[in-house]
Amino acid sequence: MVTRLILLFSCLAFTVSAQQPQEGQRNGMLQGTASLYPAWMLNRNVQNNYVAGHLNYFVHDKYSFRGEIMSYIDAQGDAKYLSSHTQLQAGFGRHFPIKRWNPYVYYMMGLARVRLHSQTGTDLQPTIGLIGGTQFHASRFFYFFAEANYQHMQDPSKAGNLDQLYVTAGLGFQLSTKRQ
Amino acid sequence: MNKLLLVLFSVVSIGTWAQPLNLKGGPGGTFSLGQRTTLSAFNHGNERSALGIGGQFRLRLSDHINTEWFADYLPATNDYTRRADYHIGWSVMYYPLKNEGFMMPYVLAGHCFDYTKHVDLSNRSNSIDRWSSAVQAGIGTHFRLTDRFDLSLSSQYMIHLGTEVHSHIIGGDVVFDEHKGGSVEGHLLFTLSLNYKIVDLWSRD
Repeated sequence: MVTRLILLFSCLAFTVSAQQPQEGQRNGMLQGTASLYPAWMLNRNVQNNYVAGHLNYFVHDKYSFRGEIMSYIDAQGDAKYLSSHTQLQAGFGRHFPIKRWNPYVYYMMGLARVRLHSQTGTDLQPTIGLIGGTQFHASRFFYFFAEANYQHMQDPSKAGNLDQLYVTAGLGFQLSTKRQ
Repeated sequence: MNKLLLVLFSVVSIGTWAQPLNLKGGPGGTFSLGQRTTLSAFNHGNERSALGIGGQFRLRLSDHINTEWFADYLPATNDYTRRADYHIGWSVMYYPLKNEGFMMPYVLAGHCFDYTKHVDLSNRSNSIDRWSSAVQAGIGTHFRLTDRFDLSLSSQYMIHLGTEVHSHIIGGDVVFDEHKGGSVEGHLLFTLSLNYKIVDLWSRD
């Protein structure tokens, strides 16, 4: 089995042989990462912590799809508004590659499973979001990134919004899936 | 271990998504998948606009005719109630212009089934729901970003053909009522969707 895995990884590595991220080539690239996201609730004086992971797939040098899962850990202080919050979202991004740098914006839409601290019931709430950030391609397989993520959804318990601003930075893994 | 192999093979196979789409004999037969955000502006006085999420697929029948099959979930939280609408339906899209440029305007009309549930926020066992049918029509345009990928923006007016449910506050209590019969009162829908062409089903090698 180990031999088969080595063979498979060798096949994957072969497919990336001709792509040059440092020259702005992105088409067919698959990226993945996970990170911690401090978040500020924009309609309340509450700060939260989230853990999230996402995958990006480039269908063009300047466009990619992104899928993401976010999960609430806890509030940063004593003031809590959420009890649990898990969000699954997907969207597309426009990239502006400049050699190794890759500034981007994403439009995201998703579905959140939310339970408020003051309630026992759980609601499903649609979300939309805008993400702005940049990547730096450190090597063929790794990149650094930093981004800010604005998410909008309605409060499931009353007329009002549960908007949050998330920020994060970290290291991601990437490989090319495009056959050369 | 088999699951791991499956995941790794999937990673290899998605490389085909980045290949150009080879159309044989025109855009008819193009099958695409998409996701959508819909803003529903309800007409009734005490209800907020709903922000919804959904999915769709399109099957293009010819140069000028496309079809769109969709499902949406649209909840809205008001001062005293929460309303959730579920739409599942289809639309026919007509492209009046011949060219496949960056912008492709269209008119669309169709039909959908609609399930609505209203709940009292202070007492969630107090609720009302109903199934109905609706028709919708409007205009829209695609923004073709690549050969396979487009953004679409449309605006439609949806008219319910069945019963309509509303909430009222009487003496501090939430009271639901159901109106029988059709009404031109519906909602205005604005939809932004992302669509990716998967395959040309009409193609022959």
